[in-house]
Amino acid sequence: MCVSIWKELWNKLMEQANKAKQPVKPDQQDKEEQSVSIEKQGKPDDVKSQQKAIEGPDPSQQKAIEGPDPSQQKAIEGPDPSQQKAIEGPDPSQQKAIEGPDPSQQKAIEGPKPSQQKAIEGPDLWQQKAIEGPDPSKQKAIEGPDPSQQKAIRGLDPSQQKAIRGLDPTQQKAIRGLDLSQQKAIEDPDPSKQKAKEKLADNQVFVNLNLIKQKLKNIGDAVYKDIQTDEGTVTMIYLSTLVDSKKLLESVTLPITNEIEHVLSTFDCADKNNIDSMVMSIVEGETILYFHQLNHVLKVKTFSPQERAISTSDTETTVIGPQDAFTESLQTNLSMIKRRITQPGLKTVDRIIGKETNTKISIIYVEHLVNDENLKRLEDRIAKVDYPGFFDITMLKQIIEDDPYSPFPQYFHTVRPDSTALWLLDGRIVIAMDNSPNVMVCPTSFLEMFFSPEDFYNRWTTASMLRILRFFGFFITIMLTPMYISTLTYHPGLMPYELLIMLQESRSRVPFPPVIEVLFIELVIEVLRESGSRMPSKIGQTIGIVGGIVIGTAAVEAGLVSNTLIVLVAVSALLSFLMPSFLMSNASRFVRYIFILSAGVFGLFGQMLALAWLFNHLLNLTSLGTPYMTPVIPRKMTDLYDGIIRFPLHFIRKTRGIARAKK
Amino acid sequence: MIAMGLLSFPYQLSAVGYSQWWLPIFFGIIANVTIIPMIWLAGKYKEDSLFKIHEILFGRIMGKTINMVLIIIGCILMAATVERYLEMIQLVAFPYRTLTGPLIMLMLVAVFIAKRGIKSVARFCIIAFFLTSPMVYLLRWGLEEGKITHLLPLFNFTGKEFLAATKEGYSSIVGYELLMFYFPYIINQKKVFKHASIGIWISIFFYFLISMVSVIHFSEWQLKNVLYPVLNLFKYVELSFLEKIDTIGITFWVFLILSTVSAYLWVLKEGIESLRSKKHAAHLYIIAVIITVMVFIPLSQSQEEKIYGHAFYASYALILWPNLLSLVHMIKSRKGRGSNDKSKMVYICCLFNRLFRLYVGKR
Repeated sequence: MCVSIWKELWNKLMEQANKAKQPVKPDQQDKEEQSVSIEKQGKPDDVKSQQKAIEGPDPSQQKAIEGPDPSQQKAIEGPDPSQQKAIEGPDPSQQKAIEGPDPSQQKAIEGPKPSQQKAIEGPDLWQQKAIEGPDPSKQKAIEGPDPSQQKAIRGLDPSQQKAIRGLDPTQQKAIRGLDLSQQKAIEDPDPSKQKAKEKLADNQVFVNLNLIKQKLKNIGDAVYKDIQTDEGTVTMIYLSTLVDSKKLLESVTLPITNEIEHVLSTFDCADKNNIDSMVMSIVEGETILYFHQLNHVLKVKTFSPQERAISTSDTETTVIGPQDAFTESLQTNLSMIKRRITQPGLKTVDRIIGKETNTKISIIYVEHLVNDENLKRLEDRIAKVDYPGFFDITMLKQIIEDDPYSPFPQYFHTVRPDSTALWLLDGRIVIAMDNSPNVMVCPTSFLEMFFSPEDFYNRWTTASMLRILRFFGFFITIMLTPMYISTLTYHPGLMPYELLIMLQESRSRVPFPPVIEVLFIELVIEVLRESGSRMPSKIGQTIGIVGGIVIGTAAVEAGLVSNTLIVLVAVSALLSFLMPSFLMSNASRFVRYIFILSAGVFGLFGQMLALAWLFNHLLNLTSLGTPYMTPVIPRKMTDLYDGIIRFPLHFIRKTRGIARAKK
Repeated sequence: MIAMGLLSFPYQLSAVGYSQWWLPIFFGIIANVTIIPMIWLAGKYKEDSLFKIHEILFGRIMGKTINMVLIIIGCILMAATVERYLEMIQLVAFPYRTLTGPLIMLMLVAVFIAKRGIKSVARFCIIAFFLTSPMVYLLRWGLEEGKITHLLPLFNFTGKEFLAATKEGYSSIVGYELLMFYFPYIINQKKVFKHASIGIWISIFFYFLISMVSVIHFSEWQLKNVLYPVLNLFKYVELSFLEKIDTIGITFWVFLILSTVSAYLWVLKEGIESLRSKKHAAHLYIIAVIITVMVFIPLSQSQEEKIYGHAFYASYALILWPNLLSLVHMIKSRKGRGSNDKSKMVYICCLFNRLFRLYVGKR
């Protein structure tokens, strides 16, 4: 009989709920799930007992915690034992009763009436005090170290807890959707009430220190430190390797021991529902402060690892102009750019990439100059990046480049802040990465790989001369030794008679064909260069001398190579280092081998075919969707002022074609 | 337009002797006039290449047959260009070597260029132009050693000689008819006539320079007997550090050859695609292989000359072809709409068409 009544009632309620169709607000649902997940996560035995303590206080204790009025308290959390029984009972009929409790009971379980709620959380200061207030005795009652009380708080047995909190979502919904007035009470649009409700919910979530400890298990430098303050015990959690002790003392320890009020009002609040985010901030070098009495979590930015000081660049030195170079710290690098371009239009958008490393990058651009299409394209590409770790910007560069198979770098990279600022003012987009002293500039054209910031500090005549030297140096370095091969192998007639005699004379003792000769000596140079760059500088000098002697005289005397070739190889090796972009000079060395081989096979014809291939390849390359060979395509007349020849500065006012800047 | 033709241009014009130097200008005018019907027709079918236009105008089967013929002619033309160039390379750079390797490499690079579509081909043509045009400077030495009086008198030839020279020489100019194939890919279609004219006159300028310098430099006998006058002009270059500049010149010529070959390759690929009504990357490779094989086929010099010569005449026909197509288009549209409006442009086209037929008929 009883069962059938319950059933009927349940069906009615379900209908009502469907009619109302007011879904639970997502944030509330989230919280709900969070609490459930916290419960589930806390499975290990040592955690269980605490868990109990958090979630299910004994009605009597609850009284002490939440509200002085026993009847209200009852209404809030503790259905009277008989009802409890009805809910939990193993009897199937009673089990059914759980699903559809009497509205009044339901009320009692989940949604206090507005008036009640007011009574609990409302403006009544005295009550408020009772809940959160600093009254030590009551506080004691809540969180105090008294073991017996603790036990008492741990209250309801697990099965009961489950019965109340662990109902499946639909049931929960049903319970929520019972009484319309209750519904109102829960989802009251009144912001103040809502806030009060949230606060209540928030306050009910207790931070599980053990869970954090569990997550930080086997991290040797994780520190948990309890400090006694005016607001009770505060637990400090941080990683000692990421946090400087002096900084910790200055920014955390001293403030919380001396001016706790100040700390509470100024420090950042952490989301205590989200254990993962808390752990993440600890790993990022922040310090988490847990106020046991207030059940309050704060976080402080204490990340302070040792950093390299700003120094001059090793790879992009100039004679005139600023000498500072980027360091490995993103913050320092950004500040170096921002002190050069002082205007609010300079935007820095932060992103996090790398599944495992969570590396911070910053996309920098000048808002009124940058091309929006370029920016969107770049952001899309970064969003699509799926790679575990990034340790230098060049890694990201290779991943988001237009043609990853090409030997040529399609984006410029630099360690110079002045150069970066110049690019930014041209409407380019710069990406800086934490732990990388390089920044990446995109889009960039082939010709721009031969530009140096010094070009703008020198007189235009010198700058133009140097640019011509660099640009043609690239083509000479890839053509010089192949030319030697094709001349001596296929077209001896190309040389004037005297020159040919001289060449043949120097080659008279060499038993190999020119291709082998050139490949041999080029490889020796590569080996010397590579070993030199790996050696410690003291041994490096020795290697240099040994290499010089071996290449200079011994190889010639031994009849392995000719004198002329030594000169040519040395010149082309020097030329390959003319380019300001190191990646470009690497590319030139790689391309040279293609030319050497093709010259060895088909002489000058092969070389020209290789050149045709090279040009075709370069013409088809794009940098962020814009053609790489920009002075050729797309043609913009003003680009010519700042091309191979740099005109006097007052000619160069407009931004370049490749940037497709707004102005 | 500029490929192998330019190398032997003065030789082909030698029928008119010293008066040949102004012929390029005449050719330029002809070329400029003949692009009018091409652009007019292409303007009527903005989205379609010539292959598609054939199918629209003549019906599916007839159109496809014409396209097939076009493709075959194209293959022969390309094979002719490649083979002539390779012979030249053999002559100048690889006297005692076979040409199999260079041929395959050349075709590979051409395929590589054409693979990325018309954009890549166009870009390559632009860069080839910029790279090779400075070679004009090498004509300086030829000029220095010639006699400027060779330029006069102007009209020292008979009508027959003139026709013979035109017949031979115009084959160097052909190539602009490809416009009809890549017209749908042009962004600024309204300015095509202007741009095409500029293009034609730039290349005519080079032809003009070469033929003028040849006239100044060579004797009449030399003009008639030197097969590649441009090569000889290269040989007169005197630089202290390089002896045989013609080797570099000819190998550098590969840029011009590649721009022509890749453009034709792309057009032929489009043709095959229109035949099969299907797009596939393999078409390009198939074409390249066919041409390579065609170059390999051992034919006697005279047979080759015959075939290639006919192929070039076919390209003359292709230049005049749009006139006929315009007529067909007009008749069709008149039938369709029942109107008889005849624009001035069409009238001019018909006129030129008739003139050309007379001209070709005389030949």
